[in-house]
Amino acid sequence: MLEQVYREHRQGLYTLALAITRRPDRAEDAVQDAFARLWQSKNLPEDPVPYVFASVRNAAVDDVRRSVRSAALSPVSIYNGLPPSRRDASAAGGGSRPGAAAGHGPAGPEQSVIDAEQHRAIRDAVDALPQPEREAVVMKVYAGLTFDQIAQALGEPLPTVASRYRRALETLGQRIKGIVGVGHE
Amino acid sequence: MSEEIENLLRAMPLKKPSAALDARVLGRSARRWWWLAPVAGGALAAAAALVLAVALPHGGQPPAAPPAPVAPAEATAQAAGPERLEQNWSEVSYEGLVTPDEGTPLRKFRRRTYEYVRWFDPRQGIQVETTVPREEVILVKAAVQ
Repeated sequence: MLEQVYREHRQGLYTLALAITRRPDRAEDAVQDAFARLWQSKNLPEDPVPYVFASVRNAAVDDVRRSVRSAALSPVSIYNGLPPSRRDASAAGGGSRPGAAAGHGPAGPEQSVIDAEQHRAIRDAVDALPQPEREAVVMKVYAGLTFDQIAQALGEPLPTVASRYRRALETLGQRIKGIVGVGHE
Repeated sequence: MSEEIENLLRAMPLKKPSAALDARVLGRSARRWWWLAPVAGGALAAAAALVLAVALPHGGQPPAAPPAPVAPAEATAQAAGPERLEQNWSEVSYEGLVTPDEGTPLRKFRRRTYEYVRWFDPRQGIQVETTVPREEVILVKAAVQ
């Protein structure tokens, strides 16, 4: 069962750990450490997904607490450095991006610059979120968890988690408004 | 607007975990019970003995006792046949105490193991060498004082 959870949520678990540790190598360590303990768990809950996410999160938080070395290095984003192509964005449901709606052909130099700027703005906005809000975004958007599962993973009431997530989206909207045209009619 | 932002976020390219993470996580899955099985322990000892038996003649270590006499035909076959040398070595570093969910302190060690295998066929002059590095994190329950 654990192996299935890992295979289905590998990317989400790693992204969550990376959002906390801000170091790719430490993020992988956290995922491995968490599973090292999980393999020894005799009784997993009926829905193990929140439990696994909680374990990885705890491992990542522990890593940050005891790691002085990571604090001295500049934090690493959860995103890759290269912006998504317009085709990728459309396929992923990002077709409402300004400038991307004009066509589906190959991006010209001007569009590439716009895409890169949008990518940078979103990346910086997400990276600048407070950690609890960033975790909520990662678990909801990138891990695909429900609010109920996120609440279980964080050990917090569902309304708290839901409002935190909405607050994070509002903050992101404010920060990237004008750059990516969010909320523009 | 929320949906619009969610779509923008989903379109962002995430950093991917390395391929080694699967081996680190799932490898532990496959190995987690081996140390409990006496049969596996016996097999490990046998494998270690085999490694020593193969490695010692090539390692420059003089045998403790003279080797048993070998029939000439058998000795010729051994000299001309393929040779296989396997060596494993590892290093362990201590990375401090960690505290899992239950609050029990654990000592964290990182073990790096290298498995080296050299296969050589003197008749055909073919030599193959492989080195497989492996890294494991080991958690040991710390004694409470």
